[in-house]
Amino acid sequence: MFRTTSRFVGQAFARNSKRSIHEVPKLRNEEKYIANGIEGLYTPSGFQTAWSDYQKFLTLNLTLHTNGTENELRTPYQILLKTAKQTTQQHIFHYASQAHNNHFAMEQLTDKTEASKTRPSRALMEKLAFQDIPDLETFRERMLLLADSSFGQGWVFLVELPDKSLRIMRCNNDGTPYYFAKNQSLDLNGGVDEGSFEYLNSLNVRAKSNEKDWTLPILAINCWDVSYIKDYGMTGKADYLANFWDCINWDVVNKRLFQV
Amino acid sequence: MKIQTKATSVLERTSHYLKVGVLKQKPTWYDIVGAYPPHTDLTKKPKVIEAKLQNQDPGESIYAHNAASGFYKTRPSKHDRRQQNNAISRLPKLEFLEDQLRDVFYHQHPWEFSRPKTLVETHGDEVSKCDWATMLQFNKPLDGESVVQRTIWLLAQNKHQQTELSLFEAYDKARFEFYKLRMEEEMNSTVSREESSMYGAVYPSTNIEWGLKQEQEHIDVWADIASEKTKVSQANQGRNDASVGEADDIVDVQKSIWETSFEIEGEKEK
Amino acid sequence: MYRVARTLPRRAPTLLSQRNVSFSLPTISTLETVKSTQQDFKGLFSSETVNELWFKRGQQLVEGLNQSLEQASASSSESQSNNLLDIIAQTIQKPEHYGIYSYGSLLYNLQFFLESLKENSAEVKLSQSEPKDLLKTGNTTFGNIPADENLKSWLIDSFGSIEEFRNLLLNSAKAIKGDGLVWLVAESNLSQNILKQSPSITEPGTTKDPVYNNLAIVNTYNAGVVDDSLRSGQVNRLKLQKEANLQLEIDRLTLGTAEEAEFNTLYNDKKLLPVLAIDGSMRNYLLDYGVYGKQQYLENVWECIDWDVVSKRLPVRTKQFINSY
Repeated sequence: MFRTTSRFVGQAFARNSKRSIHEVPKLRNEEKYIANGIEGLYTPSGFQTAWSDYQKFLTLNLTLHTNGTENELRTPYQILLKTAKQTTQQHIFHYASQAHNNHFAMEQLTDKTEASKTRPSRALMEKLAFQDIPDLETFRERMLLLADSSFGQGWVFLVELPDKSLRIMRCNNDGTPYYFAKNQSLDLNGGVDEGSFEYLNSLNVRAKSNEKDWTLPILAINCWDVSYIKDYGMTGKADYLANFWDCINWDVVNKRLFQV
Repeated sequence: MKIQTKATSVLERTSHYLKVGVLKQKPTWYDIVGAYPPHTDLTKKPKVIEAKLQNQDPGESIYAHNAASGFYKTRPSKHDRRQQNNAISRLPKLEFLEDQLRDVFYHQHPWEFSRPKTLVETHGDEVSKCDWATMLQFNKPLDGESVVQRTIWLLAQNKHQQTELSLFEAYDKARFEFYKLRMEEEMNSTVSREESSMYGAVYPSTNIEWGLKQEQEHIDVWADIASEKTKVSQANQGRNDASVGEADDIVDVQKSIWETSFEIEGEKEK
Repeated sequence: MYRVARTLPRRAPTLLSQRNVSFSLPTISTLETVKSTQQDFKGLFSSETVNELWFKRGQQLVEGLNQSLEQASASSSESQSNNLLDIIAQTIQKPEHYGIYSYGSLLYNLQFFLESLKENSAEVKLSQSEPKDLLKTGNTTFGNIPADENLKSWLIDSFGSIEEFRNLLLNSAKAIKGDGLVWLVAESNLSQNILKQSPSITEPGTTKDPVYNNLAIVNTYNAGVVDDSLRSGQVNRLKLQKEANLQLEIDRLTLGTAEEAEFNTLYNDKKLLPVLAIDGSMRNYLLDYGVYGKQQYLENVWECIDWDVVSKRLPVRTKQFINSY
């Protein structure tokens, strides 16, 4: 009995107390992308900026700011959830949320020829039909228009709500789909209309009552400059978005959807 | 070390606790240990003297009977004393420049102690991975130790390049770099929050409110333990009759201060 | 391809002609030289970045602005002003003109930033920063200290020293994660409201114009504008509305939080006059300095600040301080 206890303690020690730094996760086909870029979307140097360099920048910053703290051994996903409500840890939230979102978006990409062989599943299209999106073309229009017409940096997500219905969500800057009070879907510069103001107030009430959020992202579109500036220039967002859509590996996206 | 005698008197003490009401229920072992008291004394004894494994204390050899003179030596001679006090037999005092710097830094910045610190190390060689050409490190959080190590590095570099840099100058240089990085991080955090608020992020509580809440949780636990301990110590002091009322008073005060909801066992009985 | 332009129906020529004022990209002489000579903006940008940043992106903003203005002029009778600041002031409180406001403000901010810069005469080689540069502590030796005594003493009185000012300015810029600028502003000592209401101010010898006694640093994000006096009307209106709603629900007296106090003082409509802007957005440094290069970029920007321009923008300094409010 004593021996089993000690073995258990040993395992716990090994798992929880090994200190380390945050590393860039490995992508499927990463070597290929580094050598050739992603066909139809990135040249090798474009891929390097959007993934290798930027992701390393994020994880290194995450290491610098979580070193020796409780967040040191957590994954970016755990860190973003832990820091989302902390008013003095928003810079850590930024690096964690960006690292998670960037990985999430990069995972769903593949070479254009590969991507063209995949299709959104029937389950996905049926659910979209409930949101007045009858076909893939309309879906594409909706997502890309929202991505292109927004000012500044950010993400466009297709998210699955707790009732399993789908919604398109714009998250400005480092906004996250996982927690409603940090969606950052508004822009409070310029005129604020009644709707936005009411929405903001309702967020306040929900946050104060500690409401939980079970929203999960299904598909992400990266609208940050860093993801296209190298290959498409500062004004090339529209072309980039069109190519991005063509390189989505729907097999990955289909698997993210809740299945019975 | 104090000799442990309490282990053998466990039955006695438990009976006492039951009598004064500190323990509500008999422990499961109580009756059995009462019926079959331990026949071996489990108390640890000082090995040398008790077990008689060694005939003599080596220190006594200098006081041994001198066969030549026929006298006993009753006190150490000058020579013996010199032997005892010389540098070889004393532990050397370890003195490092780093320790002095640490001392100065933490006296100047006492609040640096209030930052949480992880003591866990994977191999204990984290510091050896650091290159102190820069103050920030990937393997180590920024703290007072960084200032110390950076100062030492600057001094070594200074010696290497044969430039004029006093200890104070090196320390000040490191210290100001440290301030600069702290300011940068603070601004980083403030601006991030402001920026996200501009895009409609909402925070359920401010950091101060959140901190108070966290603190309250620990205080509640502490208040529980403290009230228990107060009762135990009062019971041990043998002021049984008087202490019941007193303990109640104290607990009542605590309740109103910390708004805790612990149960007072004495009250329940009533 | 997916630009707003394409998705919005093109206006017929007759409608277009209703608004005869149309914007074109303003001329910034330093950048024109860079473009014509195909040389780098010395000490800060490569010629390619200048082209992307101003001639392409600036043009895109101008087009966006013109397009939104055309649509608006077809539906309403806004006063047709050719001044960007007027357009921003007119549209900032109108959610329906979000597009005009955003394009106008982005263009104004970008122009303001680029006009504050001059080429750095010292030899500076642009290079891509590396991961280990993240560990570097910012450079403490720097040049380009303002020569104008008035500006210099005002900066020192407001921030303590030029070095502290530089630290604050660059740290604020570095902390911006998305798009945004850090501004040096001259701050009025009294809010516009008090200036308007106070009888003592209207005594002979005093004016209702704001007087500036302090310099401060402010951040704006995306298409934000510096001047709180523009925003406050709207925020106050929404706040009053909120309070009215809350009054119905809550009768008991509650102590306000620090947040609320901050909110109340944040948008007190003090006049802020911008004199210097630095763009901290990623696109400014990604091409020349790489992902890790923000610190280096900002240090180079400091060396390229044209203090003559800043001095010219500076209002008259008032040292007298009325503290009866």
